Amino acid sequence: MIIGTVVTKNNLAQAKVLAQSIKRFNPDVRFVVSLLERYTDQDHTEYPFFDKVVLASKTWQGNFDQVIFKYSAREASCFAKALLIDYIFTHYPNEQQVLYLDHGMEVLAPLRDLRSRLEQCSVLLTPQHLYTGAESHDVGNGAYHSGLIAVSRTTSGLGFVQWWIKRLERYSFMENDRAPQTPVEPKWLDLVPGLFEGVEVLKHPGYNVASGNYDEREITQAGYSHFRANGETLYIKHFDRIGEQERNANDPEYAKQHPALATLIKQYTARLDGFGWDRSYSAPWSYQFYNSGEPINSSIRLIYRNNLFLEQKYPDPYKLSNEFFEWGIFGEEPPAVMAEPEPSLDQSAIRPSLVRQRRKKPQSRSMIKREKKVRLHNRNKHSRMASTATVKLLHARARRSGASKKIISRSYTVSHKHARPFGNLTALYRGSVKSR
Amino acid sequence: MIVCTTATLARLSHVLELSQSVRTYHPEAKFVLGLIEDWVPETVAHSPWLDRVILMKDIGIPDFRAFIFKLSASQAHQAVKSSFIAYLLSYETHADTVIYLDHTMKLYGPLREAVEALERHSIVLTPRLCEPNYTSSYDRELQFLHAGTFNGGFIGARRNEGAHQFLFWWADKLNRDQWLDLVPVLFDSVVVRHPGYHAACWNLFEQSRQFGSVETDRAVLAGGPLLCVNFRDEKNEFEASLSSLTEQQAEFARKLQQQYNTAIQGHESNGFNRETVWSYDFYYNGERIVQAAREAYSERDNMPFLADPYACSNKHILGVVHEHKKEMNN
Repeated sequence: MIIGTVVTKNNLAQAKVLAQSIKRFNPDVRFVVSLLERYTDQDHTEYPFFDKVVLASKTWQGNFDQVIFKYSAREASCFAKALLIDYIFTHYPNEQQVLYLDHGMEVLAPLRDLRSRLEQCSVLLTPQHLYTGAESHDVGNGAYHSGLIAVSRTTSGLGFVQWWIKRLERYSFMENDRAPQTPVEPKWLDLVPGLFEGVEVLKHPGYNVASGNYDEREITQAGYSHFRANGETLYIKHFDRIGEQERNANDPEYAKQHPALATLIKQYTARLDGFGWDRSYSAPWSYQFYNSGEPINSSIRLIYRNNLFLEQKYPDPYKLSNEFFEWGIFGEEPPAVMAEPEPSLDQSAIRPSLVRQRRKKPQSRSMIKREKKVRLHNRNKHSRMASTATVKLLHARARRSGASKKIISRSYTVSHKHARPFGNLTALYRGSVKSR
Repeated sequence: MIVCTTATLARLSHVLELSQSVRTYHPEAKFVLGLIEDWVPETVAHSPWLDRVILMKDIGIPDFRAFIFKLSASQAHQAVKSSFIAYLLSYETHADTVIYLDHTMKLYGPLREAVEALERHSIVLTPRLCEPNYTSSYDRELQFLHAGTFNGGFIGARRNEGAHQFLFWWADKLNRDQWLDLVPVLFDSVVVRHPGYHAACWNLFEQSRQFGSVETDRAVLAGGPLLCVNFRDEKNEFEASLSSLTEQQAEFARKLQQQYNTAIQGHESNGFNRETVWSYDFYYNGERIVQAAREAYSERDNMPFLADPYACSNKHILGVVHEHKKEMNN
C-alpha cells in the first residue's frame, strides 16, 4: 500500500508528523508527498520519512497553472489529491492499493483492517458522520469526507480517479454561497455509489475522527499509545482546526471532561512544534502570486473561474495582473497606461484663448426652490441633533406613563412638510404626549 | 413479496398498467394500492388487478387532514410512501419484503436482482445514473447533485429493524430524494446498478442504456434486458430529453412511450378518467383549495385553532395569515 498526501509549504510540519506516524505503525508502507508549490527545497526532499516528494504540477499533463489560478490553497489541494492518486497508480505499477490522507491526519494504529477492507472493493469512502443527527449538514455538504479515501487498482477504481479529476478540474469549491448551484467539493462523492462498481462505505468509528464528529465518537485511552473510539481501535485521527482544538485542550475544564482527547491533541501539537510548525504556518503560498510578484485578489479569482471566455483567451493567467482582469471582464484589451506629460514650468505656454470660459447658467425657479428646501432641511437636521437629549427625556417620561415603544416613536416623529426656522424644536416642545 | 404504489383516483389508469405488468412477471407477488382519497369507489375496491386497496388516511399518519392539506396531489404521492411501506411491513405479515414502485412505472421483466439483494440487506435503492461519464459534459450530474443520487421511485425494504428506522427517518424528511444520498452511510442498504432497472427519460442517454430492440412489452438494452421503466413526464421533459439521443435511439424511446400511452388510453376508455377530481382538493363547503392557502397553512405550522383546515375556506386561512403578519409588523 502507498499513502499519499497533498501539502503546501506552511503545513509541511503536519505532513512530517503524519509521515512519522505512518512509518511508526506501518514500516512497509510507502509515503508520497505532492507538494503544492512552485519549487521544492532540500528541507522537504531530504526528510527521511518522505519516500518521494513530487511537485503537484508534475502530477498532471494538463494546464496546471490555469486550473490552480481559480482556486484558493485549500481548494487547490482538493484538486491535487485526485491527481496524486492517479500519479501513484501510473508510477508504481506494482502497487494495488492507494490511500489518500489529508495532511492534518495522524495514524494511530497499524492499518491492517483498512487493507483487508480495500481488498474486497474498489473505492472506500469515509462518511462524515456514522449515525443520524447531523443529516441537515451532510445533505448539502456531502455525506462523505474527501480527506480519507482509498482506491484499489481495479477497472472501476481507476475509472473513478479519472472521473474525479475531470470533476474537480472545474468544480473543486469549498463554499457554495457565492452561487447556489455550484456544488462543494465533497458533494461529488455522493454520486460515486451509483456510478461505480464495488464502492464500499467505511462504517467504522475508528476512522476520520474529527472535530465535526466528536459528539458521536467517545474517545478513551486503553494504553500508553492505544486509543479507542466508541470502544473500537482508533486508527486515523483528523486534527482539523488545530488552533481551536489546542486552546480547548489547554483548558483544564475541557481536559477534565475529555481526558483522552486532550492528551491526543497535546501530543499532536507537541510533535508539530517539534517540526517548527509555529514558525512556518504563516509562510505564503507560491501560487498566490502573479509572476510579477503581485498577490492575486480573491475577487479576480472568481472572475476568472466563472468566465469560460477568459479561460479560453488567456490560458496562462499568472502572466497577467489584477488590473488586467478588472478591465478584462468587459472583453476588451486593458487601456495602455499613458505616461503623463511633464508639467511645463513655463506658465505662459498655456494660451488663455484656448480655454473657453463657460458662462454660468441662470438658475431656474424650481432649482431655487429646491436649494431653499435643502438649506432648511439641513438647518432642521442640526436642531434635531441638538434636541436628542430632550427627546430622550420625553421618551423616558412617556414610557413611565405606560405608552408602548411604537406609540412613542410615532408621536414624537416630527414631519418636515412645512419646515420653519426652529420649527423642529418648537414642535417638539409643543407636541403633547399622546397617551393611549 | 408485496409490490405497492401510491396514487390518486385520477392516476388509476397508470396503476392498472403497472399492476398488470407486475402480474405478468411476479405472479407470486401481491399488488397493494395506497389510495390517497377520502373514499374507495366500488369499481376500484373490487378490481381484479388490485389485491388490496388501502386508504392513506387509515395507515396511522398522525394528524392526517392537517398533513394532507399542505400537499398538492403530485406531492402527496411522494410524501406518504415511506409511511405506507412501514405500514405494510408491520401489518401484512405474510410477506417479508416490500417493493415500492412509482405508479408511472412499468415492468418489462422480473426484478430478480432486487429480490435477491433484499434477502441480504434491508434497503434497495436504484441510482439515477448508473455509469460514469468521462467527458466534461456534466450538466446532468450537477443537476442530480441537488436532486439526489438515487431516485425514490423504486424502494425495496425488508422487514427488520434497520428498514423501519430508515422509513421513519425518511418520512421525517418528507420523502425527498436528496436525503437518500445519506442512506448508504446511515443504513444497511444496497444499490442495484443494473442498467435495466429504472430506465427513464433522464438516463436514456447512457451507453449501457442504448436500445438494441423494442417489441411489444419487451425491449433489450446494450447492458442487458430492460426490466422496469419510469414513464414520469410531469414537466414534459420526455420529448426534450430525446434530443440528446441519436435518431434511431429516439425512435425506439418514442415507440416505447407510445405503447405505454396507448395502454393508458385503453384503461381510460374503461372509465378510469384522468380528469377525476382529487377529494383532498376541496374544503367541506365545496370550494377548491388554492396553492396560496396550502403554502400559507404549511408556513404557519402552529394553527391550533384550525384543527381541521378542511372546515375553513381560502378566505379564512389567508385572512388568518394576513392578520398574523400584520401583528408581527406592529
